[in-house]
Amino acid sequence: MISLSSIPSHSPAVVFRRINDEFLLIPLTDNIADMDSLYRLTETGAFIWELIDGELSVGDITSKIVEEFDVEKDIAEKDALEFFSKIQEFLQFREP
Amino acid sequence: MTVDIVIAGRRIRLQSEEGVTLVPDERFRAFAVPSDVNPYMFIDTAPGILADADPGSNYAVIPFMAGETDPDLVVDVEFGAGEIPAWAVKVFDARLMEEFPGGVRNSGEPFWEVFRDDEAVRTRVFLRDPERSAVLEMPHGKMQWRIFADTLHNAIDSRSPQKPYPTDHQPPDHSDNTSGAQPQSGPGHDNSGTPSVTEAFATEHMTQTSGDDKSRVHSRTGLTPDRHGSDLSAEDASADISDITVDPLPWPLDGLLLYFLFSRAGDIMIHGSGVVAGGRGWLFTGRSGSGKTTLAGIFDGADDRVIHDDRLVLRREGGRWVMHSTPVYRNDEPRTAPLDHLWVIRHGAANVSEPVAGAEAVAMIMANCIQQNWDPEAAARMAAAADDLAASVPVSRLSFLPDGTVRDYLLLRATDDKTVAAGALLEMLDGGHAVTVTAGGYSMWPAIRPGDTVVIAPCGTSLPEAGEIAVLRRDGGYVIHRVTRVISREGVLLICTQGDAVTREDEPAGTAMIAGVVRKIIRSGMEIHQHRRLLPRRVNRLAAYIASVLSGYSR
Repeated sequence: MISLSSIPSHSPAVVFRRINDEFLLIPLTDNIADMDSLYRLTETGAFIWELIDGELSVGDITSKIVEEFDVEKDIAEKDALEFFSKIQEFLQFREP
Repeated sequence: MTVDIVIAGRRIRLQSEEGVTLVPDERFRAFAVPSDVNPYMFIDTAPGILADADPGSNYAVIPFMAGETDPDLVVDVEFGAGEIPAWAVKVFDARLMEEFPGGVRNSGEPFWEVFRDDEAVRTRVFLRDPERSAVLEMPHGKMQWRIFADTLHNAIDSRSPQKPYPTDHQPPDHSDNTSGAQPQSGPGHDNSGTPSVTEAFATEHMTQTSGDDKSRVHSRTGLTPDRHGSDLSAEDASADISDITVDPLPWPLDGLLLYFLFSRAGDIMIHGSGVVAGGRGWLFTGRSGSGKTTLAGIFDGADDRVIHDDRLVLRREGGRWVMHSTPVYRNDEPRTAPLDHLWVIRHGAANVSEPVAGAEAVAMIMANCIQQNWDPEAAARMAAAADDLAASVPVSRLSFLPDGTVRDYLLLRATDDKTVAAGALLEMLDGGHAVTVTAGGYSMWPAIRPGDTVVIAPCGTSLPEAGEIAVLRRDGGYVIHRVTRVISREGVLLICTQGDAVTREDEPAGTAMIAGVVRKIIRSGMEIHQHRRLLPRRVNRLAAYIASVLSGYSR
């Protein structure tokens, strides 16, 4: 379960590339049948993706979202948790 | 013996020990060259400059010229089953994908697989005969590979791609009468340009024969007549090494070898139809069933040149991207043209072309590339190449009607006369007037997007500073790029510029080349403030999902 204290890092099973304001995520696979999707992070997703460094927690990242964008903390937390759960196949989490 | 095959300008040297005769399949016939000439010297891509170019087109018949002959890749072909070491890790497993009307499905049947260990990457393909498989061994960091081709040339897999063009069918004949250098395929046809090697290629008739006709194959090869008895048959394969005749690139090993070769070089292998129409190189890519073949047929029917209608290699060559044919069908031949526009296609109710850019364009290109996403380095190289391609060549989404009107639509779209407008703009700036233009390109994405209104002021005697966006005179037109720095070289001030979305800096320009400076960018009626970041209403909109089915791995 991802919480605000969870610390995300990028999974080695994904290759990513910044393209202008966005990120393209390419999942690695060992099987042709699983190789059917690329993922695209829009500008705000890219902002979060770049903050993921294996040190900052979901809560730390949320604070930076609030600093960067005009959004209230509780909304940012809820959205950040939802976002992390959506892209969790590209992440590894540890608890502090 | 040695056989050189040149595909997309990359020379593959197949070599075998004495006693093993290499007989590649018919589809490589036009790609084989004598090993002491360089068939691929790309002089220039402008119309009319190429030695053997068709008049009025920038398509090049690959000129045969003496020169550098070092191969890009050497492959030692051995007869016999290749071993996969027990400790090698299987990193990829591909099952046979079957095409059916409306798409592709997984048959579950083993097709090919990739293994990796500390020494090498190895790929094994399963041929029709369950007792036979072929192995390609690629030692890390070396461009000398090995193929264990456990297949006689006439045991060629019946699954090889012959379906689209039945035996007696000539695919659309893209050649014309003005270029006499076109090799023609067909049983017994001599390719006068490459007599000694192409004779080694089994003709269509020959590959269909069995047992009794084999002596004819050997006499037709003309290469090792003394060693070949007429009694050779598949059952004798292991009897005597001196009597071995091998297909060095049994399908689908050929496509895998090409994938690994081009992937390592940073090239792109893509499913699509490439054509040259109105002097422009266009590539249409899309999923199976999206209309690639239909489009190739439309352009072919209008006497445009079709580069290839199934699988192409895209390479950055010098300053631009170039598309090349690859051997898929038995009468394929080397064809190449600079790439001016890439469309991702689908059937539609009208002809509509819409530009796409950035990550979306890169994703759309990658979704149609031939790839194996087990290797992070290969995936990163492909993404980098697709990024460069999307930043260099316009990418659009095209829906089209299958009735042929799409050709006129695209030609009309491409012939706006921009030169006149550019001349007028530069004249206005020189006269001290501010001008307003509508942006059309992507090189400054996302600061300036196609359709933005850009207000340009003359710069008079002052020079633009680093960070400002300048208008530079270029080749009778102009470009709008950002100033990166101003340098002094031998007392002369030079302005260095670069498009925001371009990975390379432009040639430094003298101050006389600066025509103006961008003062305002207006988008949808609003002046754009460059550094303001707008918050999406909900943060979780950020995870946009692209449901791109990456088709085409099976081939």
